[in-house]
Amino acid sequence: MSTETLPALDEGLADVRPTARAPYRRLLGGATIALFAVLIPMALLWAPMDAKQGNPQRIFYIHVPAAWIGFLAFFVVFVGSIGVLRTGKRRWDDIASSSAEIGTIFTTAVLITGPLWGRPVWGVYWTWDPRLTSYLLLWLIYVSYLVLRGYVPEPSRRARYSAVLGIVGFLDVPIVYLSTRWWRSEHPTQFVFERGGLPTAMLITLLIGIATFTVFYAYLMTVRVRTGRMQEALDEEVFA
Amino acid sequence: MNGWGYVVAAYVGSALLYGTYLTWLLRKERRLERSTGDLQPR
Amino acid sequence: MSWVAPALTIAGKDLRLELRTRDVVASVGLFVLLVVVMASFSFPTTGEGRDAVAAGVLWMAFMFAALLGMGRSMAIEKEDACMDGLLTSPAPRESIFLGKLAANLAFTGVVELVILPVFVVLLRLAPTGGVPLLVLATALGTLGLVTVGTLFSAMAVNTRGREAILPLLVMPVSIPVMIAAVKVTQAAFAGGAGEGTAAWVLLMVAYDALFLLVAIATFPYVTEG
Repeated sequence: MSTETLPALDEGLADVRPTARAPYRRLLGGATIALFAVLIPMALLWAPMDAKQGNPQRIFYIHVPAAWIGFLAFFVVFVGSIGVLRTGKRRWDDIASSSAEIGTIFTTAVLITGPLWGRPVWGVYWTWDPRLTSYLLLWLIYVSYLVLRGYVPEPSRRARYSAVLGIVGFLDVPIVYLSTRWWRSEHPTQFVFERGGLPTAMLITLLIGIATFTVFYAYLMTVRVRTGRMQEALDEEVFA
Repeated sequence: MNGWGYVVAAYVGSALLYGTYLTWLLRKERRLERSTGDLQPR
Repeated sequence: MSWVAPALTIAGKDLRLELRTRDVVASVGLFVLLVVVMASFSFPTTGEGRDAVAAGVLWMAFMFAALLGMGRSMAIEKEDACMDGLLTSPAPRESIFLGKLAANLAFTGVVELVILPVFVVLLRLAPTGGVPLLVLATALGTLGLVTVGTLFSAMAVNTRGREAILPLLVMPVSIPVMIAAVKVTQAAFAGGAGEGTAAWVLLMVAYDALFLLVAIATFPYVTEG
């Protein structure tokens, strides 16, 4: 692979332009509000109380969907990063960086709601079990991604470096999960998350939760990508 | 803190986190719209 | 194979430079030695899990050595724009990476070779599980760490914080190989390979292979601008 075959990222500069708000954005925003309006009463009131865990189990309905979005957002960072390296177009960097920022928010929420669920139910705020550990790692990689971006002022270099970290980081997360799973399995005290068959009402609530958070993520992305482009246009004074 | 205390903390805490981020983001967007509104593409 | 020769030349250049100046090994080696000595003061002399703690301390020392060494190594390239010289040469990017990787492995290896006997003597721990197991753990763990570190150090030197950001980039990503290395090292100190040890070794091999490929594939993009 010689240097001649690599696309120069600066060619993407021409497509940085302030754009109007996406037309479907209102739809996404409205849908988010509507879905939350359904989810919250369902999770807090309609869903049955868990026999073993009691009411704190209700945290599950906002914890698991957030965790799912954390992974989804990171996958989008991965796809965007590959796009940056292969095409050199700014678009991909906008997508990757926006998804990283939003993903960090959701991942932070997971790390807050998790201990709040864990404490009343299992007696501890934290444990080094595979899932939690890999989630903490995910958060750390997200943060290092954002910090790296803050340290590189040149746009094309920033996009490339973030892309490399985005790819390496994403590939690392499943490996972290596997290795911590092996590690903890050597110790007898391991918290088993009961997965065997959720009651229907709980399952429905969870699915609504996942749908809600996915739509919320999509909405946040449309806003954030646009904001990112406007910021870039301002920074680089592409415009007369 | 009984069971509901943790639930409230989790829900309210999450709402604050997402709400603060969303507010900050939308405000930033408004600011940027103003700053770039008078710029024309080259 | 047109990529081997440039890689060897680059590695050779770094090693010759190091032999002449002893820049990296001296500063890094001394620092890590101090870490090990200090750690030995707080180390439990008897009791359960002694080998586990020992393995952890050892790998922390190795990680310091690797991070400091790699940071310095890339910083040296940046001084006097040596890296630009390398990039404009006909050497393929992959060779540059492999050359730097080989040099970094050599530097880190030397420091590790010094630390290990000091460690064994100061902490009164013997590799009862066999020296080959210890060597295997050290080799595989170091390879994984230095692969990721070399890639990221090429990025780190071009940022505002220079090498300071390198630990933040390397540490999260290298956690799996570090856990595995500690586990196998622990087995080496505890009397031999246990039932899980083979799995950990396999994990290190898989990690090293995967990230070596990823690093080679992405290094050209890091050296572009």
